[in-house]
Amino acid sequence: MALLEVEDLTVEFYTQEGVVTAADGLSYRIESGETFGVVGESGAGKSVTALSLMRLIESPGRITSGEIRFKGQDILGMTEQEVRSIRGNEIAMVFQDAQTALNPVYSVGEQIAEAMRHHLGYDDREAKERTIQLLDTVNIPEAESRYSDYPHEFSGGMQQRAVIAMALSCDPDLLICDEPTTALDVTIEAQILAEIEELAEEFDTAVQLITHDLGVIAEVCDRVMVMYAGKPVEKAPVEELYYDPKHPYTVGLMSSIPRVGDDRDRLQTIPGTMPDLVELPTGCSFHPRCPFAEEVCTRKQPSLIDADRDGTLDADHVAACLEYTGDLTEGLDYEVVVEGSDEERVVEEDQNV
Amino acid sequence: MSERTEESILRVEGLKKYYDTSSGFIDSLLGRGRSVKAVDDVDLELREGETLGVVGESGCGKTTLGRSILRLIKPTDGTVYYRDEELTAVSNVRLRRLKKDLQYIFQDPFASLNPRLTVGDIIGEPLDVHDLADGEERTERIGELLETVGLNASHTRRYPHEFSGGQRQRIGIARALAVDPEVIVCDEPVSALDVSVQAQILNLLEDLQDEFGLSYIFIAHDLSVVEHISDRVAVMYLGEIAEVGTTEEVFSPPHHPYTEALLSAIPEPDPLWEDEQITLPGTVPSPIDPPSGCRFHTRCPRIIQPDDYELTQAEWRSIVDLKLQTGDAESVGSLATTEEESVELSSLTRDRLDELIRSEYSLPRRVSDEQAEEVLSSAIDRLHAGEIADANERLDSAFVSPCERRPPDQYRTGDAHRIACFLYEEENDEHDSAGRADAVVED
Amino acid sequence: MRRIYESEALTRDDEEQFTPSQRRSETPLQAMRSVNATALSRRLLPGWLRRRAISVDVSVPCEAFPLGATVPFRVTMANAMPFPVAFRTRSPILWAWEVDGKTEATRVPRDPPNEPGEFRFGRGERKRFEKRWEQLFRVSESEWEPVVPGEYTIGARINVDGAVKKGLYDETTVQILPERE
Repeated sequence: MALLEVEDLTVEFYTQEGVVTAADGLSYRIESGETFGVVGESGAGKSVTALSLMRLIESPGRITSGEIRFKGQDILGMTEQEVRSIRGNEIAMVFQDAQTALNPVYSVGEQIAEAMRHHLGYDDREAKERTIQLLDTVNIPEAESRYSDYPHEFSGGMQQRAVIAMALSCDPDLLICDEPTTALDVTIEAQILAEIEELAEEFDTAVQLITHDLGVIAEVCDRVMVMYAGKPVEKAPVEELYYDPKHPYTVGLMSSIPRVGDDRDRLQTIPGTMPDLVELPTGCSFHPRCPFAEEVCTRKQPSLIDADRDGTLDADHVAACLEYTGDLTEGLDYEVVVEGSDEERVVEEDQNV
Repeated sequence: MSERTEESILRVEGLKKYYDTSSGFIDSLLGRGRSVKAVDDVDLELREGETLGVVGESGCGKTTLGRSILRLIKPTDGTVYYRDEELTAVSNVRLRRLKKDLQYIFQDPFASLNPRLTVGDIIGEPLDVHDLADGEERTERIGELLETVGLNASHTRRYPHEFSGGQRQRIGIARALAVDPEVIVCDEPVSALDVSVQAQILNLLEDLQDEFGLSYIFIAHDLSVVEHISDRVAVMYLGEIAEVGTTEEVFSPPHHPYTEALLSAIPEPDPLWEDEQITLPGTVPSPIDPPSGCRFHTRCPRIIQPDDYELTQAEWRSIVDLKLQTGDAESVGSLATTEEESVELSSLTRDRLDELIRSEYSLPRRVSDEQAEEVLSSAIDRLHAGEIADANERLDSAFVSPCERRPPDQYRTGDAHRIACFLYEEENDEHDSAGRADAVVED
Repeated sequence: MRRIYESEALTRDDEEQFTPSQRRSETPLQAMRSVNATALSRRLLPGWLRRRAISVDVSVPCEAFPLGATVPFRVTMANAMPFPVAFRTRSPILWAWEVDGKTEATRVPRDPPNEPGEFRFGRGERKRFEKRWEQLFRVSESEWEPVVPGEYTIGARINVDGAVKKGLYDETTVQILPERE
């Protein structure tokens, strides 16, 4: 039994325009101690997964079907009280915007200590001591005096570290990070990622990392799920995703990133934009933008299946493309080129359209 | 010192923008610097038809630089030349006419478009301001511009909120193109966009450059983007230019330690990428009170040791870190926190404190240089006695890097390559003595 | 570091890359009403007036389409009265389009949550929705079937009981033409 099992999760928002299917039949699992990446562009529905997990979906959104099992227990069936005792304690979350998590009216130390007093029953002194240690662990200098500082007295990077400290304070089994470093400078980002990695290893915390940044994913994740228009389109171990992507969207995404050392003049782009979730294309949601789309792609929605075609069940690498059900006549035509130079390795995808 | 060439379309000399913080009487009494030195003495040159990237992290002053160049904000000092005209000295009337040639694209596709105006009006506004077209011709021109940026002429009657971020950015670009400019300053034009949309806009900017012979100053924090689109790059740190040169000179391989650190910090989209990631200690210092000498010295992994010592680079960096923090620290305890216990100074033996501090600063039991070890030891003695100021003084007088004493010049290491770092001072002398090469426009 | 543009899913554009979405009203995803407009509307306005106030119109740019072409259509709902009008709908789905009586051209049953929704019109408000029918019917969770040439009826209704009788429904017919030989 995995630490987290999400099965067939569907989240819908009822709006005037129509029904927005933010997540459609989403299934994935996270094992203890592993770092799982959820990658996609905006509008892909990645944050919805995290919010559902924490039962934070609010009207007009609704979880209309599916199951979320955490340590074997069904989260969707719990009472509000039961969920609250898990939130912040066994499952913790780090948002992109540190200000969402930090209350400006209380000192940073106080907020962290409070979580520990509340969930773990520490007394004041214990909580304060442990908080100072935590602040130091996340590399906040002068932790002791910083304890009584207010959030606005911290820089952006420091705030994010404080939020991570708060998230880790009760030693959660699962840490969900939603774009934790997107708003930070690249040098600070590098530090924070390294810290998350280190801490996850030290405390044996599983991490669900949600981001659009393929560089961040490559750096810290063990397995990855790529999302498009509310649906998972590919799931694979991280190396396989980058070296052997199976879904045309993944391929397109990889080739549109500018990379230092890349000689190409023009970036390969995926034409068009992500569809409106209210009016999804028929068949495969990606077909209007897919260079390999055929007639059948407008009529049949692919499900995630084994893309390695070696017949094993519960395969490691799955992709939602009709290529893997044998429905395409032309097939997919692309090449992954790994360039090596003395010190650099640059991965390039060329779509031979 | 900037190069003068006939192809230089924009030239910046000694540009400064200081903001007065005016925090009050007490601050000025205590002699605390009241100016935020957002841009401090910057020289730059933009050649015709090229893209000059300006890259740096938040707070480095790049946006302020971009705005000051076009006089969107008033520089504190310095001169900007457009072709041979002194932009910083012209009358408002003349400046307005020059705005036809010099345009600006903003980062935020939401904020920079007036939500109450239709797209047609937004693009038509500059045409009206400069009396460039009216009536039928105006409508046609607007339609053309929309098509040029990949939108549809029929969209003139729509409002900004009906478009996606990428499309709004295209509208902003169309607006900038309306007056047929020569130079466009692009301020983080793709930062707020999804990766795939980003790629589309970058390609568009490049195509437009080819078609209309535009020159760009491209300001961004994302190095990969800047490297992709720029011919030459300027790296900024705390209001100053740390390095400038062609994209290849600056990035492959990197020279300035800050550029090096920036590059190594980019998460590489390759899971098997094994890198030596350079982590910079500390945070970016305040621009109100920037560090002495080379502003990067407080975080530089390659800070220069004075000749007096023979420590390893790592030891030297750590000692300087310790020195800097004893200058700032409020208590000895804060210098050496542990995970097991919070530090009660009085209960620690001198040896235990020594252990804790060395472990916190990654220093060995004895550093490689005898003389340095002596000073370090005595400083730790003073710390044990609770005398932080005294400890700091000892470290401060004994351990001074040439990087702290005076700011580096821009040293030449190539025709167009300048590095503001003492590590390259010698190369500069070599280059100079070999005779000044005439600046050649390179591709 | 790449900053991402946090756009709401609703302002994203469809596959017609260069066509802006023609949404006239902003739809916040986490709407909280401070006034129960429906209750107010129901208390203050008699049912017949509410229904009269709102008109529904379905229109297509032309009457015939070749086989396989996209059929665009526009649903316009307008409040003729100078005061707000609100309806309690049968489910959170406020209105729906249909082809030959099949909601959203799907033959797959949908189970919306069993709770009412509120469809609100401001004074004099006109809501316009641009939709497209790809000449396909959804026959299962993952399959669509193309139609054969013939006549089809595209309709739109507000999700209340007896919408047709109450004038909260409209329809139009289109011809799907066979391919020329």
